[in-house]
Amino acid sequence: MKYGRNIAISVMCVLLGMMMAWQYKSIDYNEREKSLERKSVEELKDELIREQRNNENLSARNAELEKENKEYENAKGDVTKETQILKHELERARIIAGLVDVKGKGLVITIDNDLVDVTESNLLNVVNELRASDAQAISINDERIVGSSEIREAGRKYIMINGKQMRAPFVIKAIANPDKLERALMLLGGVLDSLEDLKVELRKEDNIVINKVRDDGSVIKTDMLTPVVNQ
Amino acid sequence: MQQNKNILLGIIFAVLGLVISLQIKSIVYSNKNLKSEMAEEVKKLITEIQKEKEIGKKLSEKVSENERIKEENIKNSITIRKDDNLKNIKEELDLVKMKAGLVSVKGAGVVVSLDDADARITEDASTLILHDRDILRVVNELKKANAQAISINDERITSLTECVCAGPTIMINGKKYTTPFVIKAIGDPNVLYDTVKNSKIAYLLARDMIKISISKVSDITIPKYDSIKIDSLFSGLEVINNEIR
Repeated sequence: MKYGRNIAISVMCVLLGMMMAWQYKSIDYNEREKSLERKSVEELKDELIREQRNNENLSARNAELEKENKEYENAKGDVTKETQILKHELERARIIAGLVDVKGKGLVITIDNDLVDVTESNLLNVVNELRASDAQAISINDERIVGSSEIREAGRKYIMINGKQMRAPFVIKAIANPDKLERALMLLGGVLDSLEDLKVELRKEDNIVINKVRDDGSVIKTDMLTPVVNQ
Repeated sequence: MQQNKNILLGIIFAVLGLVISLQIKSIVYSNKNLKSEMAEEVKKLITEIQKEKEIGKKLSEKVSENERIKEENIKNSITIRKDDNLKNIKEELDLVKMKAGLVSVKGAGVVVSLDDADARITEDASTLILHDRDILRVVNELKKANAQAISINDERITSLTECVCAGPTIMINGKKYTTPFVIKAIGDPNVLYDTVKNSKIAYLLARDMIKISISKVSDITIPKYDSIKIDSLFSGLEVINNEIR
């Protein structure tokens, strides 16, 4: 009889212990779930804003195309006008390709060896950050950075860009909103933090000139590309 | 002794009762809060996003239709008028657009796939994840190997393409992507393959067990640059020494 009681009490205690553990876990889980939900609401809001912005841009692009098409239709028979419309488009394509010299407001960043040497990755990261801040044109030591520009370490002291050998200091010019650029670079844990062992200098300028890319077929090549229409 | 035991049992049951009621309360509370308010907002947001996406789809269709009309108009003018100047400009425009990444292209090359490593216990969990900087370095290797056109998850790489980490996703041409990442490159397949295969970044990624695979492909299509930023590219920018002006 007494023996049976002891067993009963032990079983109760074990059960109680399990319940408490379960309770603790459940409360913890619920808390986590709540914060997760909150986070996903934030993410969804972000996504919504992005979609809206995307649509605004698409509408703007569509409106511009419609305007161009109308202009073109009105110009029917007027070769000069048609030529002008094409020239405008050509100019824009040349800007994106980096085939013209451009001028504008922006930032000049000078990076020099200090405790360590400037690496390929340092320059890649800075250029990437500039692009993320909507830079319209970028050059390193007057070599225009285009889509196919490589950054290659060559030996210990040299870096090759667009097939041209150069060494520190690296002067990176970028045309974009200078304040936005500076803010993006100075961000805590951002790209400048990763350059703390180097000498870095930022200078905002109103009239930055960025040269066009060398267009002799060595930097931009297209001989292996076949255009695909209707895509 | 018998009485003591009874008291003990009584206490145990009381605590048990308390625990059960707490448990029920916690569940009821979380259900009320989560499932009603939050879920309501989530649902609303999802429908709104869906709506915006549909609008976006229609707008994209309109844009490509208008682009087609534009192309046709120009072609018609050239055939009707037989104006050499117009024809030359159009030819140059096509070439420059190809250089700028504004035309979809195809050719032979390589496809590099990257994905996070499988979960495992390590000192530094961030080595399990693929970072924006890893992708940048792989793309740079492809550029070293003279890739003529590159895309990441079908986003064309141009002079203006960024690739930055934004939380758990990576932003490319202003759009967010998550793993896996598929990088396509057109160029000499053997040179591209060997350069990436023997690069330091491929070694480092493989060491951290990030999934990386490279394959030569004879027919790759890379879409044109289609950034949502495309019209903000020209504001405040002045072109100098431009002979076509």
